[in-house]
Amino acid sequence: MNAIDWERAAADLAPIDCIADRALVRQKSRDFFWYSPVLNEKLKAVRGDLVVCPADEDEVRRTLAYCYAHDIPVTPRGAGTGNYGQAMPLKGGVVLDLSRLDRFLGLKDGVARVQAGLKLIDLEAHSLKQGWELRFHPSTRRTATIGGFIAGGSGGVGSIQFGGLRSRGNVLGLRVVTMEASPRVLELAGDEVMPAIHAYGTNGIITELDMPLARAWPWHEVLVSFPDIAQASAFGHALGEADAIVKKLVTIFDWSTAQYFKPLLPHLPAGKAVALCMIADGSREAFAVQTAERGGTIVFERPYGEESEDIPPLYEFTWNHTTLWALKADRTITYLQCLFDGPDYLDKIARTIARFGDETPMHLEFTRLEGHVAAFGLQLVRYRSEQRLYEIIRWLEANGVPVADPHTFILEDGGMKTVDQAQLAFKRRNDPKGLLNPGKMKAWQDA
Amino acid sequence: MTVASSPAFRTALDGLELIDTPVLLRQRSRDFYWYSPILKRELDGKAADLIVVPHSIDEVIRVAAACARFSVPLVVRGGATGNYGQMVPLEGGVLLDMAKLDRTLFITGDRARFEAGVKLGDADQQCQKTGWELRMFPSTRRQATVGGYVSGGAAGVGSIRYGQLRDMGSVLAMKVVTCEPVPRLVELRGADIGKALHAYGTTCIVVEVELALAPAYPWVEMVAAFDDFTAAARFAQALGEADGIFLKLDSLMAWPLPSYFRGLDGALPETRHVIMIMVAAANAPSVRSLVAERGGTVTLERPYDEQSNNTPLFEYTWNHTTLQALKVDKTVTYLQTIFPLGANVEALVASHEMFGEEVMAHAEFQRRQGRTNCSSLQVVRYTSDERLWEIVKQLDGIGIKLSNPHSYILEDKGARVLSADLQLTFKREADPQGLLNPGKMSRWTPA
Repeated sequence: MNAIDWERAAADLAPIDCIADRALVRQKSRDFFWYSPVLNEKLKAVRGDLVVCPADEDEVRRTLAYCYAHDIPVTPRGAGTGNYGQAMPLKGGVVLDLSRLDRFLGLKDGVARVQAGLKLIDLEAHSLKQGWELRFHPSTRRTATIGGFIAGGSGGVGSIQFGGLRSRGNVLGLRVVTMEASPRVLELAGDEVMPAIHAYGTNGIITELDMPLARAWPWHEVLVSFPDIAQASAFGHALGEADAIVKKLVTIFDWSTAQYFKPLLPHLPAGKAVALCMIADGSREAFAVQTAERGGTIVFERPYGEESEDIPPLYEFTWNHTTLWALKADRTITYLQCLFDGPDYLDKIARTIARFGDETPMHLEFTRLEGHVAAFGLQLVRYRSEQRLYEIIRWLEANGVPVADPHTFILEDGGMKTVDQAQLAFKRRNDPKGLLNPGKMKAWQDA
Repeated sequence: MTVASSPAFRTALDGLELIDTPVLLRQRSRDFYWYSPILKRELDGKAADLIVVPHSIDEVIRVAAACARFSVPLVVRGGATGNYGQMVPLEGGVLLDMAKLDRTLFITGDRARFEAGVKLGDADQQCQKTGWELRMFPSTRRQATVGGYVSGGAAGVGSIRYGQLRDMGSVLAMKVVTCEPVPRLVELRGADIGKALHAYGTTCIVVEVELALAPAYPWVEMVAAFDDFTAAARFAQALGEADGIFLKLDSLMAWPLPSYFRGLDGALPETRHVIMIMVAAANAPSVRSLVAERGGTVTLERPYDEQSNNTPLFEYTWNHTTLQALKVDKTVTYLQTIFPLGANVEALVASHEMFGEEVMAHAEFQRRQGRTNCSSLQVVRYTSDERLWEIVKQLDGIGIKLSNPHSYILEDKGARVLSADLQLTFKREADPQGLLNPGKMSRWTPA
């Protein structure tokens, strides 16, 4: 690959839009990997050689055929809002920027057909006109693309209603282009979509998607103050299980996390734990009753969609945005991703807080998981060393709290640490040379 | 001559719509209690002395005042679709037929308010014109009224998504009239709703109901058939737990129950257990995938269309299941049982194996405390009371608890001590003479 003349490659690919400018290529080779000091060290020098910006699927196929013929690695990219280098080209080569594939193709019976590069915010702008919205979205809704979310994400705002991307029924169809001499276009439906979801684009390039939508509700954003994190967590759990209270977001912070939410500070009593929720308008009364019963005080509320200059949408304080607020104040902070699950999961949360205290300021995202309520812990970490970080991770795992390590770019290590055989088989069929996003799928590397 | 037919009492009701034709008195004093051979013996022949049909809340107040002054029992009638004599007057008196209190007061966003006599089917259709619908309804949607449902019902079609009527947030408010010489008009909201909810009209007269709505989806009706009962039960549970599959109905019927059903030719293969499903159109393919994975067959799939001539699938479910069987075989009756959370499938399978065709399993899967559980309306080949109670005892031994459908006593429907206390206290205030639906609240003692 060292022999590639990139100017020549760009000329060969013309009229497909290519970017060779070094600064721009570098910029488009990065995501939010720097949340992790570990990844920051490992990935800061990573850069592609050429950014290719196809305008349609035909240009995607042409690009892939060319790269296949010349053994050029291809790493697909949405908006680059990932947190573990999902879209970063470890081996250089082409960054395939899909943001121009941004058409909303149609909506029927609650299913939207869209191109992969469509931004989530634009997808919702189209679907809301017909009374529909995304079932769930990441906190990067205003910047991320739908293809990037499906290829690199897992759940988000709305998962307390619908579970995650891996729950059957949340992605209905994918159109995927293979990495072969003559790239094929696959239409995947039903369970066939599974191997391509959360595969970081290692086994095919997603160009179109069938996304099931939810009917849009009038949502309400609410902040509730609680005396302590234990009461706030118990509230989050109870709210999660309250079947008649319709909610889209149930997030709990302790004060050591909430203290970083600068725009919210005028509303947050110092030293208190916080619940940040999105509630259906018709459920507000029941929510208020439950809040009072559990010792909470509503300190802020407004209809969703009416954000002010000073306070962005509240979901931009949740999921992976939480860490960003902390990082703005303190560059040494990083975070974890773990799962508090099982009948004693509130105890697990309490034990974690008792063990680590202010070293890992707590942040909980309540979610539905396989038919019940659980909580993802995205606690902040006051980083001291990689060694200490992995001591914390080992303690969590030894105490029944699996960690989806956000300090690795390896697909399997960021998940449940098992090889997804279907994902691997899918890669074997569709990317026989292993050129798609190389270095990410461990099972392929090992094979 | 009873007080209810005395000239003085009639004078107090002057100008109101009254019915005292004996045949109508008998007809309108009945519900579906005859599902139960026990209740049939106990309730046959019970009738009101006078029917009053109020056209306004003011007229309700006049009737309540007259009954209080003359100490005449007063029983409220909605659509009379209850199954345990909820509205059967045990001590004669006035039957207050709410059919003419049928105005829709508002449908705004995700909430709606109706007078008590609005039929659920009409309420649902009016909401659907605005893009919303009832969160749940009983299988008697066509005849039942809003007021009757919240007074005598518990759950229904939609509970697989939105839980129970008694879950905080399902019913938003009730306006009620007390039974006193000078009746009061009281608005119940929040926790106070429990004073009138599922009280059989023993504590007050419900005249208006405000309900939380759900967004209207295009629904698909499906039937899945399985050879093996265990596989069918596990499928029904897995379907309910699939967070990405948006459901409205998940009902399991063991063979030979389907052999009683008419109008579903081809969908109910001999010897097979079936699951009746309503699912958002987008997720019909997801249901097909799950059925295939679990070794079942989809035997029916059609859009749910109220205008079509098909009997809607839900009219084979919930309390209609027993009715469909009774149409063919007058000797069957049923049970109504509650299952242990987390072990409901095991209990269901054990009960199926315990009795064979004598007790035909029928389980309605629904959300309870955030999880998928079922309740069962087993259809029983009745031989004697003794045998029926023996079956109940054996079911109890494996954790399946009776919510006795062979009793008209309010407290026999499961022990809900908190709401029973609340209701008893409220009845002392709102019906000090104990005139409302006398004989139903066993804890009531005259002051």
